[in-house]
Amino acid sequence: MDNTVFGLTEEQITEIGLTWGVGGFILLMVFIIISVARESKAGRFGTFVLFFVLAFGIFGFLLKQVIQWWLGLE
Amino acid sequence: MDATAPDPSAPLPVRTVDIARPLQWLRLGWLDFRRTPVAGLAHGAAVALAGWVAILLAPKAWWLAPGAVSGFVLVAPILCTGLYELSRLQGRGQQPGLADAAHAWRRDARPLVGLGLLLTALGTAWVLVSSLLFWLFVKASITTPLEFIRYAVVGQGHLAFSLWLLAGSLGCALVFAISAVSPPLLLGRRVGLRSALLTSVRAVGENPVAMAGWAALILAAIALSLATAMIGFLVTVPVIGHATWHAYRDLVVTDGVPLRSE
Repeated sequence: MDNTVFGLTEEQITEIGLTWGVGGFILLMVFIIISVARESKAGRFGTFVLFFVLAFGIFGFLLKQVIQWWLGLE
Repeated sequence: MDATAPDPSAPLPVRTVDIARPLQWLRLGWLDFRRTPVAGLAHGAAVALAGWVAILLAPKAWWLAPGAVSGFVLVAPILCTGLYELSRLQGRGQQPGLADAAHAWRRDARPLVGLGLLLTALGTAWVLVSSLLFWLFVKASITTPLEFIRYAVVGQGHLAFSLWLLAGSLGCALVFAISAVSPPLLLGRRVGLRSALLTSVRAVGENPVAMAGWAALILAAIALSLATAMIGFLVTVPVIGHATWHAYRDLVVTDGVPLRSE
């Protein structure tokens, strides 16, 4: 075992940082959305966000397929 | 004027619209574009140019590219301010030109500048977060954009790509909601920035299906424009910009709110 910090390898630190860092970032955004929805007295803002994220996800998936096909990747 | 002055930071009342209404906005936007094509094309060209700069940067700093390409789109609602002004003047039966679009910026538009700065800050934050994410956590040796795409889409970067997409879609939903109708509202009426942002979120929240459809139309237009090497922006930017003005007119109840000075 070479380069370790607190008994963690660089790879492990990266993985923890990625999942917790981005996870925290996503959580922060969810909180902002909830507080904005409450302050604006918007009825179904949550429904919109849900639709939006789902549509975006589908779009991202399709884009991935197109890129894979376009670049001839497997 | 109403005797009871409303809370200046509270959202304005909004209307609910039919779910097919966004198509009508596009139609009206197209008609406005046809009436002032030169100003419209000038706005589209500015956005296309920004896109090309982002693309040119890509080979030199591939880790900057994913954020930059998506980040410059965030500032677009403000770049379209001149188009809202043109639609506003056309709605009054005038024949405006490019000079009128530029004049929009010289009207008492301090909150509009505030919104521009806010969106720029959000766009920059997004570029930085994206860069950090890809730069820190992408371990494979990547030197070309193609290698980067291969890594992100099919390689070990798959999870990072999915998380980036989720974070991006949440942030994008938020930015869309606060900027859907707030720039034209700030241009047309004397309201505070906070009130305009909350009004926009409210308009979206009261029309979740119609506005998700509207967002999808905008997303499709952006995808089309990117796929045509930015050429599509020449048309999509003015049409959507003008359409945004009509969306604002349909969604926000502005009775009793003072007009912004000419």
